[in-house]
Amino acid sequence: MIGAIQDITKQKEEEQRLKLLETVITQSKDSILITEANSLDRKIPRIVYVNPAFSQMSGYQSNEIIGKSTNIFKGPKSDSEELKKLLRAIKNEEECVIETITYTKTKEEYWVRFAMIPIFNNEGVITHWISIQRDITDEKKLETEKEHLIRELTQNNKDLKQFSYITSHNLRAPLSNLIGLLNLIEDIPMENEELEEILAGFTKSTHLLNETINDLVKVIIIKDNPSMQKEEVSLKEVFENVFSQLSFQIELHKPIIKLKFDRVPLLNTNKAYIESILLNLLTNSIKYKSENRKLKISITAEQIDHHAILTFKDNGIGIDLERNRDKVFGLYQRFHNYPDSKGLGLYLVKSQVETMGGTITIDSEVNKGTTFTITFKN
Amino acid sequence: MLEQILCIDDDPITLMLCKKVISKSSFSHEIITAQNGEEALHHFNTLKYTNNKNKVNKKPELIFLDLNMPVMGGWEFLDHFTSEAYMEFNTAKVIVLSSTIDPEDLAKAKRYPIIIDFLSKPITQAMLEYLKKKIGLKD
Repeated sequence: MIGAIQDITKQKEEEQRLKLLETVITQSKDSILITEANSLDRKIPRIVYVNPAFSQMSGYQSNEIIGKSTNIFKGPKSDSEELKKLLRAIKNEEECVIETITYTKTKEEYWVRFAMIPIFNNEGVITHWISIQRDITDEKKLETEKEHLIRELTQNNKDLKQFSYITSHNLRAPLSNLIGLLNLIEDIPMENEELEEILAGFTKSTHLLNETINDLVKVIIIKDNPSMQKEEVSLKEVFENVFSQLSFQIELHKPIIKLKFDRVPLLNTNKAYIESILLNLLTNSIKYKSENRKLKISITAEQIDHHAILTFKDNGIGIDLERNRDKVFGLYQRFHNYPDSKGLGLYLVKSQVETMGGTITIDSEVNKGTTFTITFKN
Repeated sequence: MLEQILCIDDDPITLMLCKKVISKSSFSHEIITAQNGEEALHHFNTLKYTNNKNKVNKKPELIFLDLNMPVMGGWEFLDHFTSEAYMEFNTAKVIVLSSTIDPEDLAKAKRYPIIIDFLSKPITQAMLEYLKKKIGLKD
């Protein structure tokens, strides 16, 4: 008896490995096709294999399609430019990915992302193409919806902006007439005391209305200006400007002001905004100072990594943050019953800080004082 | 003092204010008005065709112009007025006097060399003093 014993462990292992690799193709949720190397009549080359996922997606069983050189992917709504790109890639033996509408066997359309990959043998000669396809109909639908939504929102936003300009213009036009007329009255000598009183009230109300509208206009302009110009600004100069605008109040109340910003002499920011921010904060400190102690304000600037941090601290009457934390920076929020407080300052400050890409936080204790911390990229 | 100025505005109260404030400031001898761009152009056309060798009509040296007007607004008026057809008149300087806050309008004004200033309503005596200095006008 002659026996031949062969160790087939290796062979078995190889079989197992191939089986596993085959499972990848048969179980894949993406459609996989294998075609011959050469295309006939500028079509997709003859199909030699399709996996089950392809049959499910396209409705073609493998026996209906194998061996065919077919243009099944082309239909009335297919993107002919994309298909041309694909045929060009096939001609040049290059990898390529296209997206187009295509059709199932029952002529239902769907979006497909279609990759074509050439396979070369050891001699570098093309032997096959592998095509991996995925149904991206849902993806495309979402994308179109998103685009549509963005377009709609952009338009709405533009309309609203225009609306606010027109409204503001239409409010300002008659108001400026009122102010002009009141200016004229000023020059006319008044004999009737009651009339004089009434006109004084009239003037005051008109100017208040004017201020309110001007403030709102400021807000509109800030909100409409998401990317304004920034420049290197010297903090020293900014403070000189702010102080000169407040020279009357500073002279009157003589606050102790400590400035420390030698570490951040220059700030890359919008000059008008930073001035307006500091002017508002400083005005608030003076307006809401404590009657029992001398007003002290300390302003420091520090540079930490790429951020400049401005700290603005006073020893004024403070805000009850337990009750008002959410409202501090809100529009028309007031926390003290002062006659000339409008609830606009901190709203403007926050809008301006944020327009410049910064953040602002508040820390405050009633009757101790308030600290604002503003952080900018620098 | 200027000889003649033209105020173009659709709002009769604004025009009344302009007349009163301008005459108080001795800014101009004569103030004529138009309710919109078209009416103003019509005035210039009339001047053009009644001018002759014996009689040359007075023409405005300065125009206060509103932007937002019915029939023909300020921008459309300027496009006509700065064309060749109005060559003999468009040496007048234009001051936009408006209630607009649209930054587009401000940006647009910079593109018209004929506009020497963009001022916010209402017209005031202080504004006219400022303009007198700007155009080098003596009382």
